[in-house]
Amino acid sequence: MSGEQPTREAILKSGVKVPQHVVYRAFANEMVVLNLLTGKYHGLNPTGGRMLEVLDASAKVRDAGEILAAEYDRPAGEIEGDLYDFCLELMEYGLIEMNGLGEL
Amino acid sequence: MASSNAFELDRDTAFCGHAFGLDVEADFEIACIRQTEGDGSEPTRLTRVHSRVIDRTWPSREAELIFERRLEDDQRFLTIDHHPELGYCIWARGFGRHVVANDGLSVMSAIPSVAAWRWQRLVFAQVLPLAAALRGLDPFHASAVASNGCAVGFVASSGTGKTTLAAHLVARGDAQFMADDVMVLEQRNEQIVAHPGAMMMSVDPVELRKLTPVARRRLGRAIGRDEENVHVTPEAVKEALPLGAVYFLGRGPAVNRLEIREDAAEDPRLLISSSFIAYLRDHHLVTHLDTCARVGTSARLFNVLVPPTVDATALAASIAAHIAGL
Repeated sequence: MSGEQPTREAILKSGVKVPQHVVYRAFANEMVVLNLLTGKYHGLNPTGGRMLEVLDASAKVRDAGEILAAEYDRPAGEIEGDLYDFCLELMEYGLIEMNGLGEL
Repeated sequence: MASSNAFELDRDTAFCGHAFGLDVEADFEIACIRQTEGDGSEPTRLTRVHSRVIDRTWPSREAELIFERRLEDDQRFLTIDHHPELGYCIWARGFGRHVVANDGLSVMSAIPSVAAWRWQRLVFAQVLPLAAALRGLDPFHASAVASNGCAVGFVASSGTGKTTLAAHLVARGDAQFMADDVMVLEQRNEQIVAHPGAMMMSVDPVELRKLTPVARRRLGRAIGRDEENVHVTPEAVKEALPLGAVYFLGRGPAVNRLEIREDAAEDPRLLISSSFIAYLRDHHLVTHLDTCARVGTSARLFNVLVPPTVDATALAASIAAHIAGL
């Protein structure tokens, strides 16, 4: 993989893996994500928390998009765009890894 | 089973007790811990040694300084060093030195020739809370009392008044003492329980003088005094109790009137930042996150905004009324 930012299609075809050094727990209004390598805590709003849960439970990001589109009654394309941005941000913080990124 | 403790010594047991969620055994007397026969769980064993033993066996150059406190003159007051195989060495000027094994099951204690209440302060403030954390429990920086069969915790930065509040509630007869400065929590099944700590409180003498003789007696006898506090020994609850509520205290000149708001659950940082052992990592951080998440859903959490015009006596009256209404 090159250092270039992955495309939207590449992300959607891949699966999300939450590494062992990342732990997340739900609080009343927030999902708190702990990166044990950095010792830092990150907060996700309820929507972000739900996105992480569904991504973690889905084989592909696109599958997660279908589930979330139905849950939130939004167009699939809109949700996929949100998931693309979300995955890039979580990758930047080292909170997720992508399985199969760049494979044909 | 081979022991992971490199410092096994003669294990004559002079003392058995329970505090901070631990069965504690020692070859020396530890006052201010409830004496028990233990509940059958493996105890944390404290062994008294001469400081030369620690000098000989603790590899200072290989250990990493992971925590320190300094006095105003920049002199070191408290240090905690860690060695990956031998554990944690806790030292405080005038209070002694202790080596806690990485599994929290054994402690070597070099106790200085000072009054017992003084060296015990380090044991209660650092040694046993660390052992509890290493054994999977979660110490919070909080004071705690018991009311109506539940534990109630008070969280605040140092000097804000959590000990004073707890002392007044106990003195009023509204609550029983559970813990001063360190509240150890444990997840049991779906519930969070709070464990009683040591039976010692460090109370502002100005606040003690406000109490009637009857109220003063509820805080137990005074066993020592230093520049800031009188150290008393209130009777504590005997067993762990479900955590019913946590009050987060905040003082400030911008606060006009006393407010108690049940909105603390909205900010997980209030709980997460209340960890007592800030220097542990990895599985302790996971335990702490788990505990905080469970507390967030099982206990009632309140923000308390205290204006400068409300003193400790008035605050205790308000909190006592609030707890009674829960």
